[in-house]
Amino acid sequence: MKCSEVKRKLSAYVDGEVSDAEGKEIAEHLKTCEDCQEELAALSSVSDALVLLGGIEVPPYFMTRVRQCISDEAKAIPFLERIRSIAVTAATAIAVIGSLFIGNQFGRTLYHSITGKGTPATAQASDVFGLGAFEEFPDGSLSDIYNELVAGGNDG
Amino acid sequence: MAKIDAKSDTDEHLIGLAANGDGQAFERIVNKYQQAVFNTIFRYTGSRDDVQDLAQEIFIKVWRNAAKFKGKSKFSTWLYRIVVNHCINYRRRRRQGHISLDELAEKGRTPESLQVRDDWEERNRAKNVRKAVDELPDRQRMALVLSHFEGRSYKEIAEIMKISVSSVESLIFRARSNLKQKLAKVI
Repeated sequence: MKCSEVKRKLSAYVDGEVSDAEGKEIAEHLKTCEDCQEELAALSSVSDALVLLGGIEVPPYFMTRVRQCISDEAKAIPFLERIRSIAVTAATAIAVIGSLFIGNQFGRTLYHSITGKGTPATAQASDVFGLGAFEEFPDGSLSDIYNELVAGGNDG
Repeated sequence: MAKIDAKSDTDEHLIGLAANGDGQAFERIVNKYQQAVFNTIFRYTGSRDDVQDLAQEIFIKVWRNAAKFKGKSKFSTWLYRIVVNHCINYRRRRRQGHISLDELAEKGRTPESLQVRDDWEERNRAKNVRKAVDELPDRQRMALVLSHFEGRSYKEIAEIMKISVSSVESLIFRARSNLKQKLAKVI
C-alpha cells in the first residue's frame, strides 16, 4: 500500500473500520514509514483534543417536561377526536339504516314481481293497515263461534 | 422469582408499546437514550442553551411517530436519524438568523471541570476546539460526532445519514484533516 493510500485510510484504521487484510498492511507500513507515523500521531492528537468538547448533563426535571408536553398534547387531541368519532358513528348509522331500507324495498319488489301477488303498493298497504284481519274467520274456529254468538245475541 | 422476558425489554418492543399509547414504555426509552441525545446535540450544535429544548422536541417527535417505526432498522438508528435531521435543521435556522459561530462557541462554553480549574490556557484550548468543530461542514461534523463520541459504526452512520459507507469514511477523514489543520497551533 502506498503512503497516500495509507494516509487516506488512517482515520478509518483508528476507528477500527478497515478490513483485517487492510489493517495488517497498514500496521506493516507504519513500522517503517515515519511520515505515516507522524500522521497517525496527529490524528491521535485531534482525538485527544476533541475530549475538550465535553458533554452535558441531563437536568433531573427533563422527564417531567417531556411528560407534561405529551399530557398537554393528549388533552388537546380528544376534542377533535370526539367530533371525528361522532361524525363517523353518525355516518355509519345512516349508511346501515339506508342500506336496510333499500334492501327491504328491493326485496319486496323482487318478491312481488316473482309471485305476481298484487302490486308492491297494494301489498305494502295490506301489511301496513292489516287488512287481512277483516277476512272471514275459518269455520269452527273459536273466533267464528264467538262471532256467531255475538251476532246471534244482537239479532234477538 | 418472576422470569424476566428479554424480549419485553428490547427497544423495538418498547417502541411498539409506546405506539399504542404506553407512556411507561416510552419513559423507559427516554431514560435509556436521553444522555446520548443530549450529548450528541450539544457536541453537534455547540449551544448549551438550546440542548434541552431540542432534546424535548426530538423525544416528542419519537412519541408522535412511534407507530411509523417498522423495525426495518435498529431503533437507535431510527432515533439518531431523527436527531441528525433535527440538529441539521436547527443549524440551518441559526444560520438564517445570522448567529455568528463565535457566539455559538461562546454559548458552548467549556466543560465544568475546566471551569473549576480556572485554567485559562485549557479554557482557551477548549474554546478553540469548539470553534474548529463548529466551522466544520454540517455533514462532516455530524459523522465525526456519531463516530467519535457515540461510537456508532460507519455502517450505522451510513444508515442514519442515508449515505454510503465509503462516503462516511470520506466525511470522517476530511473532518479530521480539517481539524488537524485548524488546530495545528493549539494541539
